Amino acid sequence: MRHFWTIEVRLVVDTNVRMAAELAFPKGRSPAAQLLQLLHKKFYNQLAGRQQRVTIVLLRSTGLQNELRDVLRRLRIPAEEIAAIVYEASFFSKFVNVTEEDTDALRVQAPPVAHDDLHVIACAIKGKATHIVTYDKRHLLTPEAKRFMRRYGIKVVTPAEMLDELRRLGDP
Amino acid sequence: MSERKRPKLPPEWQKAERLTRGIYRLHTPDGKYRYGFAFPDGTFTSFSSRHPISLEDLRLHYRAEVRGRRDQEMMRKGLGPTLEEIERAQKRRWEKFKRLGLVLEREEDAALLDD
Repeated sequence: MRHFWTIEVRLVVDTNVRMAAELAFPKGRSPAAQLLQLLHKKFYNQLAGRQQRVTIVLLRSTGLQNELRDVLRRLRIPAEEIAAIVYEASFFSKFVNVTEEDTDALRVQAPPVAHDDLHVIACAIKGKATHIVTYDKRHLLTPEAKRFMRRYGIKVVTPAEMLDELRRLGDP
Repeated sequence: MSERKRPKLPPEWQKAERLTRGIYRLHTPDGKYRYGFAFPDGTFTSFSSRHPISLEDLRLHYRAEVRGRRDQEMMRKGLGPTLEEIERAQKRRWEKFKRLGLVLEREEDAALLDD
């Protein structure tokens, strides 16, 4: 029997990437939309039991879902669409139970520049993520935040960098 | 939900007040409260007490979470929504957002939305 090696990539997708995938124009050229499309395709392949070089596990927490709903509400997106987007985010991902105590504990350790995104960091650490995908240059894509996340073996990347990394690993 | 099927609440939830199906208000020792969900599969989670949230939004989250988990389970049995159905819904949604003028010219600008 042939041995088939797989690499598991565990991702936390920040709310701004989800928003970019929803609102980017034109959609075909959007790295965020391409990445989420690829993740959805791989999710279905995984459930169908198809062999894949790279498997992807998407992670979510109530904090991330709450932020997503909050941003959608602020943009006055109709309620039924908000429900559909939040549902899709839960359907395609694995739940990580992040408590208030978890984020409070991180407040002491994480660099102050990343304090606005502790819910993202907590989800990544507790869910044993390998990558955080974000467009947030002010808090997460900073050298301090990247250095802090490296301690946990987590890379902070943009959607385009993530797509490049998946291609390098042999996917898509 | 029958008594037998009701998830057993963790000890710190014993004083919790049940607001509606699966949604609880948890009282914390400092006199404040936060909200918690008890899912039909017996797992729990709680919201941060730092951000106010309405009961309507709590219901939205609870339903999305329960439906997402149920559909994932269905998919494992070969049922549930197909990828084509999901993609069609996304395309329809995107057309709607475009009509409403909710498009980003530069997608990096999305970073400003969750600031």
